[in-house]
Amino acid sequence: MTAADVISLAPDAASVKAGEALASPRKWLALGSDASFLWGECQGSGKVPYQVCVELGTLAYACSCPSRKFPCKHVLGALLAHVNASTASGTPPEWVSEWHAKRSEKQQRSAARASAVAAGAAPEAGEAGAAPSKRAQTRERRVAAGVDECERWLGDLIRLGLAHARVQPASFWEGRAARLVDAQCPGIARRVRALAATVVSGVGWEERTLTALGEIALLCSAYGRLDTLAPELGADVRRAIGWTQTHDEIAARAFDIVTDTWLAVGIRTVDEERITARRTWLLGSHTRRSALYLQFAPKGAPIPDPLVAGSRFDATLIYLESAAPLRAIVTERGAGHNGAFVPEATSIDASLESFARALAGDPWLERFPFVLADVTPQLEHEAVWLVRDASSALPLAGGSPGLRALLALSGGSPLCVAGEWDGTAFVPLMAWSAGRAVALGS
Amino acid sequence: MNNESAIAATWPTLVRSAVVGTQRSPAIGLLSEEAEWTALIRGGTSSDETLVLRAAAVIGLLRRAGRRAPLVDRAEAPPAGPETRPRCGPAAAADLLRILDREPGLLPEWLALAERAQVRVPEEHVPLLFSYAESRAALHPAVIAVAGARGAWLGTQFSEWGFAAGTPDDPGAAWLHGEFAARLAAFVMLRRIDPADARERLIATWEREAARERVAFVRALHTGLGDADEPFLDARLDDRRKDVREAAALLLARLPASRLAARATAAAHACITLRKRLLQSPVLDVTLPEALSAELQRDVIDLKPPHGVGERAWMLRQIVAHVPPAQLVPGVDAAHVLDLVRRCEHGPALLHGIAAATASYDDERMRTAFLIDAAGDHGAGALALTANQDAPWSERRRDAIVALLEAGVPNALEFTLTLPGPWDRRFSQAFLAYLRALATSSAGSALWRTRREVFSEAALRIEPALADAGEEWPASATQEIARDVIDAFYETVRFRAGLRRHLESQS
Repeated sequence: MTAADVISLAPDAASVKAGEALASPRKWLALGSDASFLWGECQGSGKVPYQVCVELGTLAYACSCPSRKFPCKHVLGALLAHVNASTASGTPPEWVSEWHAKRSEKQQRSAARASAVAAGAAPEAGEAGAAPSKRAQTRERRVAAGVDECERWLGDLIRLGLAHARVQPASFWEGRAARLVDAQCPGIARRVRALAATVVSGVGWEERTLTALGEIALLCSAYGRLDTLAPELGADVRRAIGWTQTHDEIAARAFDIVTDTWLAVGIRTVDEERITARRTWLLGSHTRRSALYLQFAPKGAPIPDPLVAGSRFDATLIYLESAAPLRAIVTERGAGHNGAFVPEATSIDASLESFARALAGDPWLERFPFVLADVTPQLEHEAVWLVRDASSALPLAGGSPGLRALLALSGGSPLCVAGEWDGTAFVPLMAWSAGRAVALGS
Repeated sequence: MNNESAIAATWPTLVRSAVVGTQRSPAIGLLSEEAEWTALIRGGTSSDETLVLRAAAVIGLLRRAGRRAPLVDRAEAPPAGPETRPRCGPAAAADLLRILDREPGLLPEWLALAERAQVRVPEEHVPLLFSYAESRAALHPAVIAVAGARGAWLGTQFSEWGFAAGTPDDPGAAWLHGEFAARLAAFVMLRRIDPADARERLIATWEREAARERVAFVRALHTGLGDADEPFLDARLDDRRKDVREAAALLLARLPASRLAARATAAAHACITLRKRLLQSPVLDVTLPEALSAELQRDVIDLKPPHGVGERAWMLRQIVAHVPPAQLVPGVDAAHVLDLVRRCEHGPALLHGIAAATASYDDERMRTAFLIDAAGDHGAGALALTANQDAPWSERRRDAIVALLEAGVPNALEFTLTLPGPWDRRFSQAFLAYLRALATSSAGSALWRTRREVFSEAALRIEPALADAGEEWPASATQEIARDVIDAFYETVRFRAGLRRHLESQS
């Protein structure tokens, strides 16, 4: 871990500055670490010093200060002091082990809460266990009504024409999305909300809008005949509409369990409406399986147990039920492996083919990981392409944060690049050059 | 018909009818092409809208899944050349990112340390460094040096980074073939290697240089400036562009042996005479010039006085600004010149002129005289001290300010910033002692608030090794504002000590 990794955890620039100010052991009453934990006591404005504790393997942390920033400046300061090698080794005090014991249990609860928030179903969480089957039936009814209404709305759009839809105010899309949220279809609502931007996205907007409408229509009609679909595809439909599963439900379903040494080949954090989502793309070293580890947190709150880009660790993944299994949860995370590791990569053509195969399973798949070997980023009229053998090329998404860093890293020579493909553009997330792994910013 | 051509035939029609709306453009004949998926769309369809939506779902999905990487036939850019320096370590790279993000004042220091350690910036961070430096020409030479071969390659990829395109290994080639920014950087480099050779190269191409770019090359003669540049610069005083004339005059006023200095000295002596008196100290008789001769008009670029200054007083001030201070009143030393000037008529005009001349000729004696005189006229004194900060380190100047600090002169803090960084150990210690005395004194919070900038600037210059001494600050510095200022000061100094550690461990 480097100072840059620590800083990437900070919620804002002010926290970084405050954390840096605490990075000196002079600011601490006690600051120590062993192989697993980092701890310290810091005199704040109160009488009792704040107690800070970090589990180094997972970067889970706690601080007794009342700050509403996560991590707070004390955690950042302690970590920065630690990476500067200015903490003394020692035996953790009692309060550290107490904290650790409480944590595992708490962790389960917070994961369940976060997925509930992600599904927009926060109100339900409080009633957990009350009368599940009755509540499930109510939701089923609401969704059916919402999907019905949505289909009629789509029909109206097409009858009046996209040119007409294009000149509608933002509230036109927002209002429809709000109705779908009320109907407990947050997945469809998200797609509808995105249309507001698609219709004004410039050249080619007609094709993009129609494609997106087609996907929503397909989703609505698939829900109508859910009972005729294979169970895996049915699971994809329900997830695309907005049903979520808790960690425990996924573990109980045990659809596909894969144990391997996983490499985090790319991480992207995006702010959505009320939540922060972190997509971690994993690649199995032996099985060569890809996985998407999706984590949510309320906006401004920490992502629990974040993985670091380029890290390699043993773990058992449980895939969510799907016709094209990709999303998974991480269980039994074991030892980490050190050293830069270049993943096994494939050609552009082979990657596109595997994307097509995945789409054939789950037509609502939004993104797919590519790990591309020997590609050279090339600049052409402000646009960047990944080129291989001068015979195939992939367009890079224009706004990707790491485009110039990727060009600089390559310097006109081929390298290995991992990232997300959404069917039209590629977002580079990590690159390997001369044995060095470089995260390209998220 | 195969899938691909059926899609190609159907999709545009489909998009058109969706844009217009099926109300006005019924989707009849939409699926005239038969393909294996047309039945999927047609089966049990009741309305035009459903037909369009279903077709969009099926064809949209097929298009998304079937997107092919286009065959490309591009002229590949030649790859970057091999690197000659190792990368700086991860800790030094993290420092650089922090500097670029929120401590840009420390960038020159980091660049100098990296240069000394003979390392380069990791290639993925070069774009961030270039984005910061692209509009700051003064940083370009140092930035180019640590950006390595990859930096030069990036310079060929993005026009705004063209300043880096010239390969630092061969400034001669960059001078001949580069774009303006690259040529300018190459010229500065050539001046550093061999000033005379660089000047001859410029003279050879001078007539062909674009008029608006000439001024930059004249200014660039600042690097390696010497008496041999005088004929070329003096000829530039006849240039058609005012900015070129101005730039040339500014440089000539740094050369005491220039004809410009001689002309100004002669004109000044015509206005100023030293009158010796019996039993009394001598005085200066000053008469204002009536009009400027043609050749003086050529030297004095700005004839229009600022508001509130008389025309003839302005002329005198402009002339004196070109006179090497030692030659203004022959046979009188610097401290006495100031004394004489203060007592004579038109003293303010003379004082301003002398201050400007002190800065441009970098006259150390006159500078020190001003400093010792600082308790008197702070305005002109500070002017002479702050101007021309790139002048070489001078022990006399340092000693003079150390004396002020040790004497506890109240405004000594202001004068500390007239010494360019990095400060040596002796000066740094004097500064810290002063700071410590200030912290234990009963100085009010207003003092700390108004001096905050002095401290943040001083933190960038002070010898950072002193931060590792870990000396505790007096507990009596209980005012929160004082603690804040001191903490921030120490935080920066400690960060700078880290920069050194992280880069020095590599060399």
